Amino acid sequence: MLILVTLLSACSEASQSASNQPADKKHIHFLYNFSTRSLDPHVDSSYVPLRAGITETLVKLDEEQLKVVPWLAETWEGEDGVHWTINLREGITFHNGRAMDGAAVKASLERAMTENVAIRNALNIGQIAADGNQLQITTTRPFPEFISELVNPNVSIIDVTEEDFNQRITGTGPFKLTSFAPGSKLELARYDAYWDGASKLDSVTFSFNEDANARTLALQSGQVDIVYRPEVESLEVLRAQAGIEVEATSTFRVHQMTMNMERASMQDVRVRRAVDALINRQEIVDTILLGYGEAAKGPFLPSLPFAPSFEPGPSGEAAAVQYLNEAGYTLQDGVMQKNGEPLQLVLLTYSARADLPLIAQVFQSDAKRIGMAVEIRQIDTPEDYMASNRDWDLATYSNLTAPRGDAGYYLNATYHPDGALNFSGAEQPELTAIIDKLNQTVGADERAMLAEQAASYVHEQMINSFILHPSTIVAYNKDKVKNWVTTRSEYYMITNELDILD
Amino acid sequence: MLRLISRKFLEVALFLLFITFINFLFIRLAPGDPALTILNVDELSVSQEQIEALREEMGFNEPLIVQYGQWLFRFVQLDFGKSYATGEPAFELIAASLPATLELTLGSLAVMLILTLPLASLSALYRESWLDKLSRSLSVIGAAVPSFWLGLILIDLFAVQLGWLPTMGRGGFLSMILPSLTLGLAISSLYLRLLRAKPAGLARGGIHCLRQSTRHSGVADFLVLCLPPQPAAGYHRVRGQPRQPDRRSRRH
Repeated sequence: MLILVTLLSACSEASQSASNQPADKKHIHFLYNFSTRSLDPHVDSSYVPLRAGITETLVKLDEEQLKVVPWLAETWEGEDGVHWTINLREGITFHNGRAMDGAAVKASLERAMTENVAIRNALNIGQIAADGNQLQITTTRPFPEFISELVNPNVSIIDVTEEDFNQRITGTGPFKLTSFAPGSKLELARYDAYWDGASKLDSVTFSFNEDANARTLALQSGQVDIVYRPEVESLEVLRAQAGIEVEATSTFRVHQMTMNMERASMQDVRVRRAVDALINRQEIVDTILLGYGEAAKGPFLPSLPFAPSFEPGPSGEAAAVQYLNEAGYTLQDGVMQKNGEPLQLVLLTYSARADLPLIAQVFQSDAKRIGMAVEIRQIDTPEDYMASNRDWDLATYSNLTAPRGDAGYYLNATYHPDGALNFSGAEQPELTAIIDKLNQTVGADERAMLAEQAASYVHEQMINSFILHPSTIVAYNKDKVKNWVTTRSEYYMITNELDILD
Repeated sequence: MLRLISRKFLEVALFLLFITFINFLFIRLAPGDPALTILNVDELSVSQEQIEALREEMGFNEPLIVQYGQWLFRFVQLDFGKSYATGEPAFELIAASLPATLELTLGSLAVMLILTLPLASLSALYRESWLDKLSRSLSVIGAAVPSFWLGLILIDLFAVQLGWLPTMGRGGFLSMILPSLTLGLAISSLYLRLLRAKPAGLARGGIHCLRQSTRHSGVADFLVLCLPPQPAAGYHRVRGQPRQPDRRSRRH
């Protein structure tokens, strides 16, 4: 027993001292909801290095204007969508003191494409040439959204001459890594030579905890200062606690009802409109998300420049019945049917996003009231199942619609016949033509117009129905934390502006 | 002898082949397409062609038996592959997680032993006493309370309300206490019943006499009960005392 206790003490004391911060230092403890065992910014899909302020990308997403703005790159041009010139900011150094110049950025981009096949596919880069602080990049095809793809945290710029990217990374951000406990936490220290003004904080602890309850309790105990996604059910308790601020911001994600247009009943647009009319968006936001969301009017957040401006059609049970009647369905003996065939739909859902099965149940209950039978089928991996099985009519699914401030990704992935997420089986020449034209268009205004046109077409043909935009919730100690911003993109968390109150 | 060794060796090899094939089969048949994960289809634009090309490149389109053969070939060369999610070598990932697993295992084991051994022994000795009843109640409660709930209650009490221990993290001996208690209490409930039943059985078989002989030697009863049964039986014989018949011990 003594041996056991000694072992426990021995293995713990070293790490205990690391987490203790001197009282006179300005320090913030941030608690994040995903954990990672690797810090390689070109591979790790938790994006911790960028979120923790260690690395930066060439361009970033402006949270107010919701457009791509310069970051490590100062200016760029590429009118033909193939030949791009990127001018880097002068005087930026990596945390090891090396200059961040064209050659360093070229090496970093090349490593990202070598290590991550998804990035290689997403960037479509054919050739990179570096000269001083200028990069000349040629894409393999006309690729107007090239610059917005550089927002991706997996395209972070790091010094690739260093080694062991899983455990140690050398970026250009306001904080440099001092220690990393895989799956547990990062210790960060201010980078004094940061190009955009050194942080006022001395250090930051960036911890992980995947349990929402534990995250909430950590904030309540005062162990941490900022908690990302606390438990939704505890938010009222947190709000009531003195000194805690709860913030919620709508994200670029949309929960949607995907419609399988290869199924006989769903081929009729009036049936699809009936399904859309039956979804009580505000009630779902209020009861399932406890108000932490925004009822969706289309796939894109209303504040985005390419969000469609159409007004939603009639909704409610009466409107749904009306659409079904127009489609030839009638209610007989409490069953909605056509030519003696009852309207029975199979609705897929999955538990990885806890609110989706609840949305499915609400829909099932509402459908039952108008005689529509809905069978809920729980699946594990939606992308896998929906792509390889076509025995379903509807699916609750969650999509990122403009993760990097551009509509190209979502429209191509979801509505192009060749798209990886085209689970509806949409193959509509008019829509495909709009998307193809978007893929050739460089100008931001014209792209926004085409994206809006595509979204309007999707709404008109009711290829999918959009339910809500869930919010990102952050709770923090308002007596201590200063300048915290909850971003829509969820990319930028620890910044040089973050501070503590005097 | 050589034939026997060869036969045993062959048996073990066949068994390992069977086990690894079944494991491989289950992992491959489990839901989830690694190609979609690698290509990050949830955030990046990918065409069906690119997905298919990656499946081909990674060998996911090969028949399962061929994929197994390729895996086995690399495995015997000690190449355990890389994580599809992070690109890290699989062996390093397991090795990196092992210390935390061992810490938790040792911690929960320590809690279980500290709690179970004395309590089970004493409750077996003093059956139907208040201690025995307490032990049985703890055992039932421990089995009925889910670990995640117990963990939250302990965090709320010791970390949030009292502020004595950290709510989370792997940062020293103090951070080990609550997880060890949570896991240790859960397994204690099982061993409490098991160990209590065992000494009770021993008592029926002659432990009563052992108590008599050690009463004046300064050895605590529960420590004696911790001894394995064989030495205890030997002890009787050395002292020349006859074994106690079962029916006699039952009267106590």
